[in-house]
Amino acid sequence: MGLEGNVSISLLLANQGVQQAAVKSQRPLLAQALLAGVNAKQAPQKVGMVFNLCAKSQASASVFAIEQASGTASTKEACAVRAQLVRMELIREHLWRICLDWPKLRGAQADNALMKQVLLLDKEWEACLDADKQAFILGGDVKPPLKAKASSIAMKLGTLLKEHIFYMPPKAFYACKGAEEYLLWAQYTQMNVPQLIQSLVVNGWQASGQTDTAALPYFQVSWLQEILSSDNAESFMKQPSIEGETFESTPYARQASHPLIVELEQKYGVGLLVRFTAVLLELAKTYLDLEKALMQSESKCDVVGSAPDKTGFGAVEAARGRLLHRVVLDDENKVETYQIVAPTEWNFHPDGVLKRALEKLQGDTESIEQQAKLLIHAMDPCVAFELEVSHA
Amino acid sequence: MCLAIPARIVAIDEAADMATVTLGNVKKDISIALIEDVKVDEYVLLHVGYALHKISEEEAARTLEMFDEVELMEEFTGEITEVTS
Repeated sequence: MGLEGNVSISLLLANQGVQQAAVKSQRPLLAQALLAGVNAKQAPQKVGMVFNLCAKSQASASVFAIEQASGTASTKEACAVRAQLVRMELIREHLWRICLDWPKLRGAQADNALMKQVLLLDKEWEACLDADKQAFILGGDVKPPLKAKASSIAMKLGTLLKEHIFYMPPKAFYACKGAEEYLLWAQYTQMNVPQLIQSLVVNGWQASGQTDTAALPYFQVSWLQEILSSDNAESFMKQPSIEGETFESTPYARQASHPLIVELEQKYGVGLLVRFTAVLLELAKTYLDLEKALMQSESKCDVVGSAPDKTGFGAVEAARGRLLHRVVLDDENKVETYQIVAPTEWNFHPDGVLKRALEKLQGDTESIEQQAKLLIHAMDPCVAFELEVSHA
Repeated sequence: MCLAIPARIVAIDEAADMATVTLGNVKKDISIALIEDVKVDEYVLLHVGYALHKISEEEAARTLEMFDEVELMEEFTGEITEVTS
């Protein structure tokens, strides 16, 4: 197993369907080894540096956990800047998949040029909001960003989303309430994103991989504390479940109440069409939240309940789902225990939502393989994956 | 989980938007289509075959040092090999 880890997925086919799917996530638990004994103040930066793909979400969960454990309160400014950095990161990560992976799923070329623009905007955003790199420092002196500069970056991002992703303002896309209107958009817009949606319709794959896995509920701190301080903590971090049940923590789980998702779900169940649509809605919604937060500063910090002495929890809704950190500090304020429960472990659990969805796929070998790739990308494992198909 | 790996650029093919990076004795060809003005001997963060962005030599060294501390360098180069193949 490499340091980054990977997810291997194998499908056993029989009678034009998937007889059995196996999902194996091999991602090392690095947090404890990397952070044990580290001074609490240094932990969030170290977390952001090591888990650098979603560095802002990771550092944010870390700093909230450390603050709670050390009894340090965040300032409103710090919380607001962290939330804005996490939003941009979520947008960037969704756009990564949309620009680089989605076109390939329908045989088209990755849009490197567009992703390059996204990365430049992300960099600009970070420089504008956290020029002094204080946002993830315990008790850091975070100043409110320059509104005019931040608004100009947000506007550029809005234009990019309008011209290259939604072909209408993100607000108009998010306001789309009817399946008919949405499917007409997919049918008649000859551009990358709608064409992927249209390809699901043309192939009759709207309902492919239907599941009824429940969305991950809000965590109760007392329950988390019990499980993560028990002997089962390691197996929980590797393969999390609640009372034997697996849950999903995906864009669909977060967008399930949107009227368009509700209508599509009634028609097609929670299959490929709903899952890809949820990613697009989440992208639009996160952009709208980012824009709104520029106008109206957030007034509170998102803290996960109250924890026992010297223990802290941090939870962040990151691109691929909910990310949870738990830290226990010793009397010298050094990290004694550091645990991370990542969304990939919920979604790619051996008995989880992906496995169940894969086992619903039907068609010939090529069609099943293609639908499986779509499902995996819709749930986005964050690490490389291998897909193996064999026949019974 | 969710890691991007620091690597040093040792050769660039501008026409193809590709570069060769190295970590220790392991070499790999990656896409540099997403970043600008990258030069030989600069460091980049590498994820699933793409250079994500440039980082300073110091930052690269600090990140690699952290893995060294927990004796994970062997796995680290193993990861690069996996991506290479």
